[in-house]
Amino acid sequence: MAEPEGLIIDAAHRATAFVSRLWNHDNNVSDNACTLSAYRQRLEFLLSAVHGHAVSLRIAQPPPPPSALSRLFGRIPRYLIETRPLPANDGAAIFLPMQLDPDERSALSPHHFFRLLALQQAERARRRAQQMVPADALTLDLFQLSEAATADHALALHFAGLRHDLAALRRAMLPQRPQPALLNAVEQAVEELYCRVLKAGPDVIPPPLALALKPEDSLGWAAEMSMKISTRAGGAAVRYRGCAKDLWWGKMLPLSPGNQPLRYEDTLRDMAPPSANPQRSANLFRRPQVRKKAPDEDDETQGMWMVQNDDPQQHVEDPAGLQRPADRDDNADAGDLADSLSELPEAQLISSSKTVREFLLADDPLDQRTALVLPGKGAAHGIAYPEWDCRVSRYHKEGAIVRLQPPLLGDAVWAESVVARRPALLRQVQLRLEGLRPRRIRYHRQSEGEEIDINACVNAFAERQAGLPPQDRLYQSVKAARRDIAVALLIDISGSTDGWVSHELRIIDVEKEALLLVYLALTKLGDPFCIYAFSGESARNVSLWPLKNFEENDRILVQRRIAALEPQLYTRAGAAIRHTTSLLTATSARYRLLILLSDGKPNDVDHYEGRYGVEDMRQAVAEARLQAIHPFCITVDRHAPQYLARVFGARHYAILQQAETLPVVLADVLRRLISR
Amino acid sequence: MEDPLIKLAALENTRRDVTHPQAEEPYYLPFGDEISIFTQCHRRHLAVMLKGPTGCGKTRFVEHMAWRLKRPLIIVSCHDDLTAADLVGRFLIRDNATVWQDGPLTRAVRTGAICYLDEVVEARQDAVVVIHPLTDYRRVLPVDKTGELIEATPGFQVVISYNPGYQHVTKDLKPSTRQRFVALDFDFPPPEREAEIVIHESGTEPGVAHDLVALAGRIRSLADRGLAEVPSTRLLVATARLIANGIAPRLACHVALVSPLSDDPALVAAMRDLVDATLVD
Repeated sequence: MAEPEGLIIDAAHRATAFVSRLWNHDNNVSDNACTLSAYRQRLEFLLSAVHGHAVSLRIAQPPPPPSALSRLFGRIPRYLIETRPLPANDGAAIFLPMQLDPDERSALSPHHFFRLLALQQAERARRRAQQMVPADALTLDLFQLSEAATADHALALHFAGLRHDLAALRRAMLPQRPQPALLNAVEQAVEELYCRVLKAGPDVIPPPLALALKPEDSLGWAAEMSMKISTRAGGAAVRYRGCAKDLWWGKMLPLSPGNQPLRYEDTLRDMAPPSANPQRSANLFRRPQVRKKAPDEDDETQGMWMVQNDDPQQHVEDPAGLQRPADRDDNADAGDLADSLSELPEAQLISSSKTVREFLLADDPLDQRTALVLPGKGAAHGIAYPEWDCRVSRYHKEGAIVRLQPPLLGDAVWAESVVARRPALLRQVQLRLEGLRPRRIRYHRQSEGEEIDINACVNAFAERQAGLPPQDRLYQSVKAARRDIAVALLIDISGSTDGWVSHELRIIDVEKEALLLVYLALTKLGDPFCIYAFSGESARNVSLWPLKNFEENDRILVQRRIAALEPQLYTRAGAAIRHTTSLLTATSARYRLLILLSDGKPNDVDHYEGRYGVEDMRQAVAEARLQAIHPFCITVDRHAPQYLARVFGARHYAILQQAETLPVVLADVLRRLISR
Repeated sequence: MEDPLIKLAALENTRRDVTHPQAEEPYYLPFGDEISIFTQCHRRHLAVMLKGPTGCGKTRFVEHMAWRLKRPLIIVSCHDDLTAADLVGRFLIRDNATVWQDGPLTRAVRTGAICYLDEVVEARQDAVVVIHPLTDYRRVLPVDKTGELIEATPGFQVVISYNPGYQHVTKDLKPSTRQRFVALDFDFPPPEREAEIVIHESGTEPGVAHDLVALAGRIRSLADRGLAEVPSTRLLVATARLIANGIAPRLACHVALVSPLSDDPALVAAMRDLVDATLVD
């Protein structure tokens, strides 16, 4: 007979296996490549190609969970409850669901599906010139139906290749429609119209719908049709509860309030210095819609009083929208706050000049009118550079402020000790760069050239006299001796360079040694070059330490500056690259190299991390390339291929397998870039 | 026995870079008054600069004008190693002696040809400066190696082309050079004309040509999203030729239109999407 312990262990084992199976299964569903993120960038390119201007593509928010009360007392039929995010547009931006259901994936490949939904919504958004929303729900739905059918018609007309996909999408929507038995007379009429559209080909508009050249035509048709339907169904007695929305139907969000970002600088200028309290951040599952203030919300007259005996229970939004209790609490957990905020369907937006306590990061990018940038008076002492915000696809003017810091001076002995300790390494670096020393080279026996090669001519003459075939390589030429090149080395000295690569060396130590050896070798070449180290904290404080300017020649000084390098704070790479780019463009050299030594992804205390940081860096690199600068990156980050290829382009970066090889690799990279 | 070197020299004299006006008119569809302006410039001895993106018909325009004005045409494609000697001429060793060999520019000056310097910003600075005395009232070409001062024959005209799209710091025309020219701005033709050109040049069906032109128009709006070069009319003609010869339209667009333009995976993917949406096989 089995022991009780054995039974328990067996049960626990089986339970664990079950749970892990369940877990893995769930992960498989959510982690595959069918999410919108995989296609987002190419879809944005596609939309801007089709419409001629940038259309931002955003993630549609899941609907808020229905509250218990509305479930109990609400008269909403089950099929009308939204369970998933639907494609939508607000006249400017396109919102698409992050994922597709498995049965939808069988109809069309995810790529085709997202492409079609994006083009559909973009076409509908294009037609929404001004705010035209019919008052009653029936007319509104008919208006949307007519607009959607017209948009499909236009797509089928201009994009013949999409007809098949459009038809497949319509076919996939049909089986999901609710049973007619559940609907009342008015709803049945709308449902029948909708099904008629779904059954028709995308390039035909089935009657009684008509081709609406302008949105006004749709509106007129919808008003007329809604009158007809309600009279046929028996007047106002039958209430129209709505029509089940699906991916084809989508949603029509209120028009976005223009692209003018609000300017908060005035308030920010008086802003108090950042408080000593640390800022907290958490991920936000879904962002509530912005609630419009009701006209009587802040009325002066006081209504009925309610005497409260206990302390109020903490809640994200206090009923009057006056002050969140969390604002008074320095230790509130940002995660809890994010959870309760994401359950709210909508919340009021309040702007305040106080320092932000928590950052709640949602996948959904911010509205364009939200100004996150914190420019201010500080810019007077620094140099402001724009920063690319991939979430809204535009620059933040004065997005980051670069401050040049006076470099510290370290021990002069350090450089000597490195050179004494690593003579072999120095020799290796020098050997690699030696072949690059500029010199005039005379090429003899050329088939073309500025001058006659007398030796070749005499030989050819003699050979011809001797009856040999004539020679045609009779010239010599002197090829361009000056390389005319300028190099900028940009070194990341963020806090992460404090990591140990071997039992006695940190990343920063390896960087310093490499820098010193390459510096010594480069000075012999005679090409102008500069060395900058960068780090910093927040957009207002991107620090750059000039270790060597283009014109500086003081070897001891530069060596002492390199010796003083120590790990600093964060990596806001975009601003540092932009500053170095501007330095390089000021040189008269014909070829300009920007070499970034880095140890990982860009990051900073605020939103500058993940995709935002990488995209800003990519933009900064693209700007440099547009100014005829060759950017190159050397990194010790093993995960680099995932993002570096996108940022610097294929073959424009090198990943160190062993950090100790940095000096040699740096010399190799320089040789490869300069000698081409 | 015939001396092989003499034969070589005889060949040299009938240079292949000179094209003489042929009976057949090179096809060119004008977009404005460029033909009458060019004709007047030729008559008044004014040099002409053609500005415009690559593949929009600059070279074809010059060929057409040479035919129209009945002048021989010498085309020099400039590269970054093109020196003044390459344009003016140099001494060659030939048969126990050194022989002076005219460069293309000198030949044009002597014969009264139209000398077309394609992508002139690519040439070295000294090569560009050589044309200065030819483009003002003097109309002479000093050849310092032979001590000659050649006066231009009446039909001679300098035409340069220049692509302002390349925002290259080191590659720009000097202001003193720019002022010597009458500038004609070229751009891609409007859709109807572009379709007409594609049909004429490739012999494809009008439907395909219109689709291609619509596609190109959409891809061109990606120019400020990271696409360095937008599809030119020349690229469209090449694609249309493939299609006219039996390659499936989508495949032809992928190989001839999309892939040559960019290496960026996201951009290429978006352009392929556009091709798939616009064309049907």
